[in-house]
Amino acid sequence: MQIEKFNYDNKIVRDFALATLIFGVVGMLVGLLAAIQLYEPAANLGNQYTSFGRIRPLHTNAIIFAFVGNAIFMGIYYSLQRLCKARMFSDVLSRIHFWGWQLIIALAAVSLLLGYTTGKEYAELEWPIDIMIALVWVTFGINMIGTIVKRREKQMYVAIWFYIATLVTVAVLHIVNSLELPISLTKSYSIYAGVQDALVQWWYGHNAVAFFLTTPFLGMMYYFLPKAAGRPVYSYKLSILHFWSLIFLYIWAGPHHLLYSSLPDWAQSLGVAFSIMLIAPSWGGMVNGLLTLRGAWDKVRDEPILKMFAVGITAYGMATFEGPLLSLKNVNAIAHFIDWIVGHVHVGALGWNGLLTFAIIYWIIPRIYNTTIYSKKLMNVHFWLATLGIVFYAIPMYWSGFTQGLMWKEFTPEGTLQYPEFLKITLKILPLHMLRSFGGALYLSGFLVLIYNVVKTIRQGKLVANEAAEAPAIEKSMGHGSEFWHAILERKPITFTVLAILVIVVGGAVELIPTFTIKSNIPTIASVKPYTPLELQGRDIYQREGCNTCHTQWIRPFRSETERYMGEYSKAGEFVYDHPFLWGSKRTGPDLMRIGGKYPDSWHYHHMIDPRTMSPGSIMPQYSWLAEQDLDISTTPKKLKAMKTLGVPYTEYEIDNGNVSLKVQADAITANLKKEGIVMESQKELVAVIAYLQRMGTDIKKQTTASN
Amino acid sequence: MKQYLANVQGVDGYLIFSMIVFMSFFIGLLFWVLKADKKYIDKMKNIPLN
Repeated sequence: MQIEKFNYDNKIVRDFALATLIFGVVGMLVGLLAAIQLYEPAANLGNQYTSFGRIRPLHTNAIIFAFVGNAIFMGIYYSLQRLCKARMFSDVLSRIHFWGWQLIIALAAVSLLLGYTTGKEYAELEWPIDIMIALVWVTFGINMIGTIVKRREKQMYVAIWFYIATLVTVAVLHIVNSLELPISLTKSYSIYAGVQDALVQWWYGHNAVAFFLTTPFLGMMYYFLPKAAGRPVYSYKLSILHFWSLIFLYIWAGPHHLLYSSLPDWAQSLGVAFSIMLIAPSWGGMVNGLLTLRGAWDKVRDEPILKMFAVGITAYGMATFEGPLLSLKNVNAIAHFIDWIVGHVHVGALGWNGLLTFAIIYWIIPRIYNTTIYSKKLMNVHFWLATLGIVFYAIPMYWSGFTQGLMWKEFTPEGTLQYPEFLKITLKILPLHMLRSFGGALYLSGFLVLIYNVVKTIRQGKLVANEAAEAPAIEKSMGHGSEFWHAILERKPITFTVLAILVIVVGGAVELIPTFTIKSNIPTIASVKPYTPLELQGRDIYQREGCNTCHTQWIRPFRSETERYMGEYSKAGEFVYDHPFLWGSKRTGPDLMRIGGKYPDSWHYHHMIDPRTMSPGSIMPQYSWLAEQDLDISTTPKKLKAMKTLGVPYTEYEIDNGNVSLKVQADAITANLKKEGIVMESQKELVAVIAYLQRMGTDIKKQTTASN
Repeated sequence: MKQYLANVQGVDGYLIFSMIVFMSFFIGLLFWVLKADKKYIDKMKNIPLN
């Protein structure tokens, strides 16, 4: 057998590792700022670029795609080469992948702060960046599949299956959810509307968690944990079972994000059923990870890398237990929109993604620098700071979540709401928010200790950019008669990839197709009309400022909600012209579905200039710049035309005279304000926002007849 | 909400189809995994350590 000599590319691994460190600091700092803004409005820094509505998507994008994303690529580029006993397929593609991804991150940071957003959670980036993401992802895919094809190890180890599933599913999710109609380079409308848009978004959102935050990390766990523990994975059979079940089940579970919404009941039930089943394959992964450490627990005591794996995998187990629990309808009735969800995702992000990333960095860096870690003691310090950080983060969030969830729903014996004032409940939980930011600060300080340790390690070693390796060439003869079927599959990466795509597409299709076919059957409400040009512009500003990060537009069919928000619960037919849907997913502030007509225009004016003049103690940022900036009306005809293309029934006359009617409505609002002694020019952005807020949820009140 | 679906033909079919597909997929998988050759499994397990 001929032994072939080759080199592993360690430089690309190092580059992704450094990017992970840099964006980890950025993402966590921005997260800390956002956490402080939630009890100290002055931390919004009084300008539009750093207000919570823009900072929050920056935080989530920076952590998910920049910090975790780079960590995934670091782990995959290191482990894939070794599992395939081959250098990456193409150094050029590796470099394009690296620099392309960093360019996307830079553009994302700038565009999100400037308010360019599609309004869809974890998919906020506008269409030119979406296209770049697709291209860079394809580059990564070619590089990865190319490496697998030219491998010298006949069988594909379990880690590689998880990488393949990640690759194909993220591509499918990203493309389907990002279909939008561009208005300009920085603005587009989702091609889906209302209920459909919500379903596609949460099919995406849920599976972004699955295939960006879970499967690549399971793959890395299957490589790095046995390496660090010096023993093979506990059960390879379990890994086959839980891999296929996990990718099969995950894709169906998205609708659990939309329980008690106007999504059809059957889709909600489907989401719940598959979410509950998901606990089995998720825990299969956790059990397989933890049991790999059986008989090695003495090592865990001395080795901080293993400690991080143990706590990280346990956090995965906790988060995946909470997931099914949260998707039970009766639990969800209280849990949705509250801080528990924030606690839940941070147990996953800080525990599972964070600790595994740290463990892998501590494993890789000394090896590619041909040295040992600078200080094991500092690794231990980091481990404790991170673990305590998670505890101080999660517990206050659970506590505050239950407090607000129960207070929202409490009635007096007479049958009126015990706490009708939303703000009173918010003020009650602020101390817990302070404690949460302390937890976040602890976690960040631990990360800074890692950076110091890594920099010192790098200084004492030298990068082995090309690590020499050798392996026998792969044998041409394949298989003998009655062979285990999975063994055959593990030699055929392309077949494997196609099968993985099939498995995820079945779930996606069954979930999405019926909803598309019911388009014509969503009960139209005769009195629901398209937005006026001014309201449409106002809605776009609402989206730009990220109002939907704190306010829902989604009153659930509970008495506690219809009572509090003084109106009917949300109906599917009310959203038919909403491109994109802006239902939100968190109630930091009250729901706004029926805000229209609740207060006079002047109330909104004062409230936007300084929320605390109208609601003392409010934690909402001020939006005074809206009263200073002129509305860009040059986009009005384009926007109306795009909406018409998407099926909103604007007439040609309405499109051609969009700015005329816009001006008439704006003048009416400013005249109204003048009566209250407020002087404002009608071309200011705030006028459009007031128009939108006053329209919201009012159409149904005009209802005289409704079809269906 | 159920009345929307009354208008959609074959929704029941989707639900039943999804369960049948998953159960048969899973049972087949389980069957084959249990039958798998131990030597092969041991070999696979040790790939990262080689």
